[in-house]
Parts: sequence; C-alpha cells; structure tokens
Amino acid sequence: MSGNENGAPQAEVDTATAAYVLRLGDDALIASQRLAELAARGPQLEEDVALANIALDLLGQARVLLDYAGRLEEQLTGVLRTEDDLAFLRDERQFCNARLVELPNTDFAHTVARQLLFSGYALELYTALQGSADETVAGVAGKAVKEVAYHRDHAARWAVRLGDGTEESSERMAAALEACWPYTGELFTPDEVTRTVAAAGVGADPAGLRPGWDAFIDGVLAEAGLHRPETAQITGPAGLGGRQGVHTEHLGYLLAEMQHIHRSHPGATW
Amino acid sequence: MVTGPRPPAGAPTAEPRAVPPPPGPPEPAAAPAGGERRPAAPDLPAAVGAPAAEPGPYRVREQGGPGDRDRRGAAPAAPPAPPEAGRSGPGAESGAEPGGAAELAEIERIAASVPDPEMPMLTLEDLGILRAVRRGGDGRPVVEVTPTYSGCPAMDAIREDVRGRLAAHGHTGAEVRTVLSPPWSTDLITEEGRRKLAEHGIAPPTGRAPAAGAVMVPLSVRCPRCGSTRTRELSRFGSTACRALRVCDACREPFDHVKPL
Repeated sequence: MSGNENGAPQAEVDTATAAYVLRLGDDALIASQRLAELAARGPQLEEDVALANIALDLLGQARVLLDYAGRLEEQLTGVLRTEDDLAFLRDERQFCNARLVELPNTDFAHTVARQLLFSGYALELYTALQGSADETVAGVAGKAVKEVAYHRDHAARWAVRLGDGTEESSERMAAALEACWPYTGELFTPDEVTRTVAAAGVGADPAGLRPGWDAFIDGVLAEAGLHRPETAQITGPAGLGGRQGVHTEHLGYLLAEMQHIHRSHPGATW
Repeated sequence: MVTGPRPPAGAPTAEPRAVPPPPGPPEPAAAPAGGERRPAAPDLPAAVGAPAAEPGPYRVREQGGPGDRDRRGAAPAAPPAPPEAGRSGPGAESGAEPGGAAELAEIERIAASVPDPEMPMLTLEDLGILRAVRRGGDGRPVVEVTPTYSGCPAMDAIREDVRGRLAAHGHTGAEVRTVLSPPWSTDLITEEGRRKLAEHGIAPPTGRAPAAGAVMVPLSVRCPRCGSTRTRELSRFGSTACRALRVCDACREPFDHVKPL
C-alpha cells in the first residue's frame, strides 16, 4: 500500500489512529463518569449543576470519539463495535484512559485538582488537534476546545479559592494536588501510537503539550499560594500505565457501576 | 471551608450589546413559551385545522410531565412515525416536486422553523444550528444540523422533531445528519434570536469565551427584566449546557445568560 509522506505504511497509521481515538474517547468517558458520581451530591447547588454540565460535555465528546473509534476499528477488523459496546462491554484491561481521570472524588479538593490537571491538558491537546489531518478528529477538537476552556477556567477558579482560602481548604487543596500529581506524567509520555499519529499529522505529540500545560498550572498554583508537588511519578509494573490498560485499583469499581445495568439487561433501552 | 466568591475582576466596563428595552410587565422566567407566543413558524401549510399543532410536545417536555416520558419512550419503537404524522397524509402537504430544488427549499424552510426543545422561543434558524439542506449521495434530502455543545442532550429530540415535522409535510425520506465542523458559536445566533431571548427573560450572549484568550473578559450583561447592567454571575454553569446563571443587583431577580461560546 502507499505510505504517507513520512513513509509509515498506511495500515500502520490506520491502526495507530484507531488506538489513538480510542484513548481520547476513554479519557473523556472515564472523566465524565467520575464527575457524574457527584450529580445530586455536589457541595452546593450551583456546583452540582456545574459538575453535571462538565460531565455532560465530556460525555458528548466521548460518544463521538468512541463511535468513531469503533468505525475505524471496523475498517481494520471488519467487526463493528458501537459506542455502547466500547463503553459497556470492555473490561478494565481494555480501557486505555490515562489513570489521572479515574482517580476518586475523595473530597471536593480532589475533584478540583483532578479537573484542573486534566482540563489543562485537554485544552492544550484539543487546541493542537484542531489542525488534525483527520477531519473527524479536527471536528471534535474544534468543539471540545471551547468546552474544555470553560472546564479549565472553572477548576482554576476553585483551585485558587481553595488554595488561597482558609487554612483547612488550603491544606486540602495541597493534599489533593499531591495525590493527583503522580499520575500526570503519562499524559505527556509518547509511545509508538502517539509517534505514528503525530508523524501522520493526525494526532499531537504529547510531549509537545507539556510546556503550555506547565506554564498554565504554575500560574494557577502561584495565584493559589500552592506549590508544585515534588512527588515522584507512579508507573505500573514494567513501566506500564493506563494507555496500556494497567490501571489503579479505582477503575474497576467505576466500571462496575457504569456497566452493570447494561450487562444485566443486554440491549435494554429507555 | 470556602471563602466567599472573589469579586468579579473588574466592574462593568464595556458597552454591552444593545438589548431592546425590557418589556413592560416582566414575564415568568422560563415561560414555557407555549401557546401565546408561537415560535415564529412562518405560515406553514402544515396540518391546518389541527388544534395547537405547533409547540405542544415541547411544552410538555419543558414541564417534564408524563407526556414527555411517553414521547421519548415511544420514539425508538416507531422510527419514521413522528408525533404529527397522523394529521396529514404523506405527501398531502408537499407542494414541491420530489427531487426538485423547490423540494429542498421547502425542506429547509420547514426545518428552519422547528423550535429548539430547550429554548422553544427560538427556531433552529434563530439558534444558528441548521447548517444545510442538500441532496445526499442516494438522492435523498439530507438536513445537516450542528450541536451547540458536544453533549447537548437536545440533539436527539431535535433530530426527531425535524424528521417528524418534515414527515408531517410529506417529506418522509429526509435524513437528519449531525455535523461538527465548523463548530457552533453563539455568534451564530441571529439578531432575531437575540431579540427573542431577551424578550423571554434570557440574556443573549455577550462577552468573550475563555477559549478566545488566556484572560476572561467579563463584559457587563444587561438584566433582561429591568435593563440594569449591575448584574453578576452566580454560576457559570446553568440550567442547560449553553446557559449561565446570573443575578441582577438592581431588581434582585436571577436570570439565565446564554454564555459566549
């Protein structure tokens, strides 16, 4: 088959693109599901509505991405998995979201910290992907970039309010950052998939997203009177992580809650 | 545990978008824009004589009554049978030759007049989400709509409503397709749409979205009831994905604001 301008065989690019889009979809889906846990349990009414809205945006992004991932996969395997198949019928090891988004809502500061670190990354990512050579990826990015800008702003404001608030809120915010920080590294770690899609102009080089993210996070932390945690990055066995399906102990519980109705009543709709 | 909200960064400054003076007696906020103000459905030849043909279903949806549930529940089971299909036989109202350009124009006119389920005072045209009506590869008409937000839960209802309205006018074969690019922006809300929003107690979009730059530019937002610009944001995320919640310090009423995107 004809290769692209960088010489990678087209089949290789197609395979990597399918895997890449699945990662994007999994990040959005799991981030959404984790936030949705707080619906009707937010710390105050406005916050409840805000978190549910953010979860809804992420779910919308996830649906388009997973639908597309399924169709890309079908071109390779001849078997179609729908967005529902991908969301509800895969097991933990088959999810390739970054571990950051599966971390629990221990307290509101943890939710804020996770959202701050993830939305900061997502904004850099979707900004870059607006120029993707893949029309669908570029289309999703064009919409998502505006949404995650609101998400990032929301998290940043809360990080500043908590960090620069009372002694208690500041301590909790600092502790939450400590807890989430070790899982930020894998957002920016390139591998074979990202190298191939980046070379083909379809995806973004994760390492290239880091400087913008660093600058933004440092700005928020400075305003909040917080410090960048020095905790070491945590990787799974043999350096594997979420992208390879090796997750924290928290994902299984999240999936159980998300999937059990669909699995108990296959094909049910309402 | 949380300190009070920080004061908004900068008092009202820039001149807000010109909003027509507030209507005399304030209307209830989320006025289920039902009967009294028909959502600008320009002289549809539809189901004349059918009482309250227009926004009936939407009113039910707004109120979240049991009818809403029924309607949703029935949807998957009856694919091309829209709520209004029974009232006019297929083809009965279609004045245009199938396959002709006039047919497309008529489909466009009908689709444009479908009310938005969440802000039923606006038509799809007012909202700026109707992208194009064209002929698909198989010759069938394709109506392209774009979502406001990725997760907009109204998209399914909109697709269903467009299909139903078209079928009621005899255009049964039309396909409604979602397109993402270029992304929707509040700039696409028409002047007419902005006027209707303000009239219904929802402040039209002003200001600049955070995506436009690193710094949020808080333009003042005019209270749709009393016209004061002394308003502040209560929550950036409101009753729907596209709205923020604000309060007016002059008349003390809360109101929705379509946030810039």
